[in-house]
Amino acid sequence: MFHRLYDAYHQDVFQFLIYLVKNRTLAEDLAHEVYVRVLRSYDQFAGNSTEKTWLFAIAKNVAIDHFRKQAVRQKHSLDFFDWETEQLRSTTPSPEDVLQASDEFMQVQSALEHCTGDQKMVIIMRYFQDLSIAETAQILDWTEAKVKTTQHRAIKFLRQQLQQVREQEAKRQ
Amino acid sequence: MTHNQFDDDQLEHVLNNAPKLSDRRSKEEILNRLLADARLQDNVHLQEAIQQPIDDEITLQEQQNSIPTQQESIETATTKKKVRKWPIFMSVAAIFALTVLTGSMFINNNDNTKMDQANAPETSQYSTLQDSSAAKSSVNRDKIMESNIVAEHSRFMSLRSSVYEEDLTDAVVFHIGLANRDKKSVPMTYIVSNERVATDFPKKKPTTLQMYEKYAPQIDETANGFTNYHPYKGELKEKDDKLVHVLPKENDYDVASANINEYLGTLKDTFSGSVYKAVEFENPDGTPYKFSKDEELSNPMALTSSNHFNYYLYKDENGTEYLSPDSRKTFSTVTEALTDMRNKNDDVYIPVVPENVTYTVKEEAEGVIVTFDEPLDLTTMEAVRATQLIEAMMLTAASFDQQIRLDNVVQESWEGFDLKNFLPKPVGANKRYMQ
Repeated sequence: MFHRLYDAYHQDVFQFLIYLVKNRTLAEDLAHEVYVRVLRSYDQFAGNSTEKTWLFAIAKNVAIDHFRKQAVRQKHSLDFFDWETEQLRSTTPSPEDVLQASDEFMQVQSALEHCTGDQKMVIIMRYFQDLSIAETAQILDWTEAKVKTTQHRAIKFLRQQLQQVREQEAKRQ
Repeated sequence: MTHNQFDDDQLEHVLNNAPKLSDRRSKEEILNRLLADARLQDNVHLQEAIQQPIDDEITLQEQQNSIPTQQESIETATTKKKVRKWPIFMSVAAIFALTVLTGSMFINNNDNTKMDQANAPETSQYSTLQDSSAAKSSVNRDKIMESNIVAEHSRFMSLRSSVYEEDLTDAVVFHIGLANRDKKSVPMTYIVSNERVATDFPKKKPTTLQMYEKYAPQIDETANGFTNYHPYKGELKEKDDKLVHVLPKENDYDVASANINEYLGTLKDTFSGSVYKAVEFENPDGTPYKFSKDEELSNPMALTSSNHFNYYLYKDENGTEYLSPDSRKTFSTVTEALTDMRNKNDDVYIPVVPENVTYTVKEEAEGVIVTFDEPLDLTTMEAVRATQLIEAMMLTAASFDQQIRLDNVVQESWEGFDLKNFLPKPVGANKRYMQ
């Protein structure tokens, strides 16, 4: 069981956690906690959802518990973001395009910090983790409509934030 | 970056192409840690896991055949998975005896492709990248490739630690001095979104004291390696352009001179630069408070005139690094402050200036100019150290309300700083976000 879950989903769950907490060591700690809960509760897994959504739901709960323990959702700024640079995918063919994508992603990442917790979670699940609306709804224990609404609002908010940044940049130039 | 309308398609494109971040640890490391967890001492699933082989076996020849060129490696820098041989039988003792290999790992994208398929993304966000050759190629993480990728992608991550005006397009800052284990104050700068402030203070723009009362209790100081210090005991109130702290009869601020210095340091880091010109210390009955351990301490204490510091590196117990004044040592001129940054005064604060780096300081009308005696090649330093050097000098100059220019630096820019010109004045040190 452990090997199957690990082989299929470990990197996805880890990425989900590191995008949420933005600190590699912390993400490792939380991933450990996820496995502890998985190993201790696997016998109670009723199969009402897929193993994947069950695993992500546990990861989500572990992350939320962490934030709760902190009393406040302490945001880690980008300077603490322990990027694993060698694992980054180059998404564009030319270095110039890579650079531009990097800037844009940085801005998105920064804007994401201003989203609500729900919006951030949905963006990470839907875009970074490529989870479907149905999967996201199951993991968050929401309706699909709520996922869609939250995603829509998050996209709108991010677009506004990024537009403002661009306008500021244009003014400065 | 272009400045056209940022539409949903562009945004979704960026989101869909978010960098892949992977766990660098091996499965064995993760299992080892689980085995060491007392909560799983008799867990049958874990016992089952350690008796099974760990990774698929792939021959060295297969790995070598699939090593791509360096260029391919950079272009296809994708999620990777370690492939290692491992004995089938594993006991607890054997697991702890295993050497963790983190260096030269071979990566196989075929496995990765399988993993992606297992995760069944309906529309692969990286489909454009994974042409057949790239998807099949493996990556040899040799040092050259790694350094190239690190260099290329270092642009993704900002090493800056301070807050600048550009961070505040839709936000405000909340300054606070957090108390560290050495009874010193570390100035922190929290960014609070306008949306959050508008929600928290719907009727009126908050004062600095109101901001403090609202946000200071929300900072988990101990979780961040600091002493549980805020909010202050007693009562804080505003009186004209002063802040009044009504101190409880019994308080921890006045038990020793170190405590007083800690207290005053946090007050200065929290309220300097605000509308308050001074802090007045009062007894509950309204009479002036007299510090028993420092009878000469002026009351009220000015917040405006004595905040000319230089900045050093401070590391907490967890290894988290901050830029901070050294024990609130003050200077009368920016030249003195910048020159003094080379000196190590104690074991707590580390100079950000490397020992072999010397420079002269000149004050001009536009700002202060630091000229390095020898051309300073920032690439010879760790990137984070070079950034700390620049930012500590910027912060030092800013504490004198001055901007700084660094001359005789090999690089024309660094971390987005235009080193050919005067650098911006930071708004505050040690950036954090308040949600």
